[in-house]
Amino acid sequence: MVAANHQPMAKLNLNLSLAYSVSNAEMDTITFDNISGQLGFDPAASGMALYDYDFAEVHKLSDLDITQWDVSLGADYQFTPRFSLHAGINYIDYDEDEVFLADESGSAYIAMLNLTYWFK
Amino acid sequence: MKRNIIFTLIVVFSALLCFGQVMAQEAEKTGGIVDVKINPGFHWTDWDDYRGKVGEYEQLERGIRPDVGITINGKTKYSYFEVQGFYYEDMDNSVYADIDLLRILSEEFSYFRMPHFFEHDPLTNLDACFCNVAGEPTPAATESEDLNPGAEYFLRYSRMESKTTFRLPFLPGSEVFFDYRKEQRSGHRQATTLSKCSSCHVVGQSRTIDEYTEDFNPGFKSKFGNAETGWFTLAYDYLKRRFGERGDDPLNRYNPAVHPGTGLDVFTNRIQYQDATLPFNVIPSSEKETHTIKLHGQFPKIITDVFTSYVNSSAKNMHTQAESELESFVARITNSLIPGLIVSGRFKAMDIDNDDVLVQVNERVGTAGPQAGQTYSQIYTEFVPEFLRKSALNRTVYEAELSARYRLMRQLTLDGKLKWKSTDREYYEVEPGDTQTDEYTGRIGLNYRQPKLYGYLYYQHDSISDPFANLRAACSPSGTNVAGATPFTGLQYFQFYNMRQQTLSNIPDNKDQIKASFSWIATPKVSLNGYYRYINESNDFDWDQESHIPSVSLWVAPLSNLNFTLFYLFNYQETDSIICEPVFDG
Amino acid sequence: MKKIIYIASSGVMMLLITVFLSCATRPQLSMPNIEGAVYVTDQTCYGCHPDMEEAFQNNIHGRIASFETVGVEKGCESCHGPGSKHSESGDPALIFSYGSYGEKGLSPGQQSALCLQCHTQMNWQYSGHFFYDVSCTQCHSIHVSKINKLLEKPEPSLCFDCHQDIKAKTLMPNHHPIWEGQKTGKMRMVCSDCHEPHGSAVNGLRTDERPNDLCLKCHARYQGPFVFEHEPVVEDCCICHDPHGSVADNLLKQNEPYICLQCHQFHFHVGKTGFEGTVPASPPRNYTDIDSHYNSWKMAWATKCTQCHSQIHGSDLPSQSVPGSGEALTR
Repeated sequence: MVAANHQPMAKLNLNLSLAYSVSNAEMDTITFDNISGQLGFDPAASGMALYDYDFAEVHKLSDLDITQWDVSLGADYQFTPRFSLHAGINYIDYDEDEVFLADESGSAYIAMLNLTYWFK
Repeated sequence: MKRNIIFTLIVVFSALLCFGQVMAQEAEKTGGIVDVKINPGFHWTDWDDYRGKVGEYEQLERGIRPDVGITINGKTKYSYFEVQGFYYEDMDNSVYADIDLLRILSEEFSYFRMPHFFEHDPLTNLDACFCNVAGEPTPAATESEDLNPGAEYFLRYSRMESKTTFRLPFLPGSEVFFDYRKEQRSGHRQATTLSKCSSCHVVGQSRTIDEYTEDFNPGFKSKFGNAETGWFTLAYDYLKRRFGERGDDPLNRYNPAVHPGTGLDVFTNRIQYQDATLPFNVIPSSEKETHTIKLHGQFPKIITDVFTSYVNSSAKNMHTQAESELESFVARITNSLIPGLIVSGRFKAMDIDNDDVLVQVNERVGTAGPQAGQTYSQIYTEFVPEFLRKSALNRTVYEAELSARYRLMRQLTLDGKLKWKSTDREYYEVEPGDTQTDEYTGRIGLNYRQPKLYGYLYYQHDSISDPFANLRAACSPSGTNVAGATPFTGLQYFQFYNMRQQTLSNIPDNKDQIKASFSWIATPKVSLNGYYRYINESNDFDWDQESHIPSVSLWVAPLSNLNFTLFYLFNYQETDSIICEPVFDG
Repeated sequence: MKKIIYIASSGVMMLLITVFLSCATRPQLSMPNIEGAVYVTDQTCYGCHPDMEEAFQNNIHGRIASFETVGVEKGCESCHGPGSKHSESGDPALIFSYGSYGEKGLSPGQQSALCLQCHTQMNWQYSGHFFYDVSCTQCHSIHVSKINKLLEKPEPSLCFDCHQDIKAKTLMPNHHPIWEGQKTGKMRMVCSDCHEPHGSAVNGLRTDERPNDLCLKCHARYQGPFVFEHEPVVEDCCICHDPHGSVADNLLKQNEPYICLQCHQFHFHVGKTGFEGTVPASPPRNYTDIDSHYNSWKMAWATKCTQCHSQIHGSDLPSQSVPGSGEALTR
């Protein structure tokens, strides 16, 4: 994360914030001991259905790889002691590089403009 | 649309200007002070692809939309008040108010709404069909149906809290309070259920959520005494909680349990219900009552602090009328008579009792095949369908703790803790024949503190005998011979699963933790923070976990009007566990 | 149980009496003291500190009524001690100072003791903050804060200055809405919704019962008690969930199926091979067309357990199986 704040003039304040996040969740390859000789049936020729105890691809089914960005820029200008203006933009990104069930990737863009008036 | 928005903004802004001006003028007349701040504005939002994760708790509506905020605070001769309101979107707004009348009556009120988006599982991973040695599909299959494909699931969450306090001028140090809290969630979530024994058929549909949680929490607190004998504070509060789900329970048509190959009705006596539309995902209403009484004593003359509390709580499932009761007693004494040394002793006893529930299994008579005319328990006589559900929640817990902190020098303290906790579950075994878990914790730490540099380092070890575990989680790796099992005769699933011997658990019986942190103000323009946490856990069931969490943060102000903060965090956790795949050619 | 309570309370009382009697001849004060100083009024303080007068106009400490403080002076001197010596000489060493902890100023313990004269925090001396020498003024800014509860900074930034491992978790893809409030300025959750930073009887949490009961305050739909239980749920929510944040969905410590496989075995069906192709629906099969492939079975049975076992927190309704006595939590 990076954040910065700058006040170039007495009435103007600028700020920046940037957050980058990478999240991974992985399961190692699942390997079972070789038990073929101990089974009461032949997995490759069973009567009802075939069996395959090679789980080499199973671990990938639930892997997660998510990248997130959150960038904000903001400015505040104090016109008078009672009146100020705030402007800001925000970009957020959520990216699934390994999809689990459904791809929930998305981006959002937000811009805002607000006036502030004080009655003192 | 754009013209309407601008017009609305102008009207709202003007109204608030007038309102604020009037309030300030009126306050001046009466000698009060009022500050009013208004924040009208607008925001433009757009999003791509899916908005449910990028804005999980935000209402992201495309386009330009107005928002407005107002803050009023001030005081009059008899009151102080603060009100804040903010409207962003219809699902995203808040109000906060704090009113104080001569410190006799004060009211703190807050309300906010926000959305919460949820995942929509397309269930597309579930379609599968067996393959036989000839490469042909065999009858059994798994399948899925999403009855609301593409539906966006979210809830509107709102929380209202009100804290009313009446301080008694005629009884100094005493107050009576009434707190009220209400949470509501409304919207839709995905609900899934399963029919089996023609295929494994998972159906997903939208479930209406309209739930509320309401807390009524009156009580009183009173402080009395003096510096000579000591100060005592007595507090009592009563909590009444009501939870209800007003949304309709979803209905599902559970499939006829026919043999997928022959179509014969041979599973009737193995299935409690089939070929029927029944509710699922039923969320029971509940009520909870809690009485809490606390007594705190401060004895400045002997620098001793004493605390004791008693809690009696009961929670009831309003559908089944099953009830659980909790009683808890805590006592603690802290003393710092020896210069530089603070010693604290604590004891806790807790008892939880959950009603037993008689579970009746709907046994039906077989209608076809080898088991026609008989129920399942008539064929397999060792199987007893009805059982008394004895809860794993029933327990008695004791805790004792001794902790101490010694000031080695002005900036440096040494602290240590020893803790014992014993949990005796009445019915749930954590080892064959044993329902008790004992935990022992030891901790030692150093804390250094001076104006420009402070930090701490501590080490903690936890030893847990017989942690919570699943005793019959998996078959023993040495194997279980089930040769000769054929459909409908021979070894049955319930017998097979009851022969499991391997215990599995993700709770450690040994845990070591190291935690270190420092904060250094190098110059008035530069400061550095560092942090590291290491956790190593393992148990006797071939499970272990290791975590590393380092972080560093740097703050730099190269100029008086410019500053930067850089922050890096890393979180790594690795878990090793055995995984069991049972072998059953059935 | 009642016998245990009786014995424990008798033990506490006896210990208290023993300590009191044994120490009665050597009383000591943990409160700081200024020799010879007497109380003057707030107006004396404002004479040299006029900025404080304005700061206190709307500050809660400036509004305290006399019936709220039992045996403690109101005003500046309730926290800064009797001011006569300091007002005569202007010497900062002759008044209680809450600045940075160094050669001058009060120790964190002394600072807390002064605040606790009025603020009864029943478990402060059992809290981690007390043990790690965190004083009240490290989190609270008494004179000038505009933030609720006079905090130095808003939550969660205030807490994350020290609790950086928790900060890391709240930034994970799945988290309670803690950051959203501070980032956007809108009301959401904060750390103190669950945690009691002043200490509590239960691990610093805002409950007097069990940690599970804290979770159930908001997630009351899982209160039950259910007919068909899932035992780790009644044991401890944190066996499966990490409330601060997680990579996996639903605040699970690890993604399904791995989280489940640490305590359960696979279904034996996972070992079956799938048919490659589309299986049309035809009697007597009661299913629709199924697109299958070689790894379909593994994909169906080893991806997400709660697609079938959806009532994982418990249910009052039985699952279909008679041999399983309806305990499978599928309905």
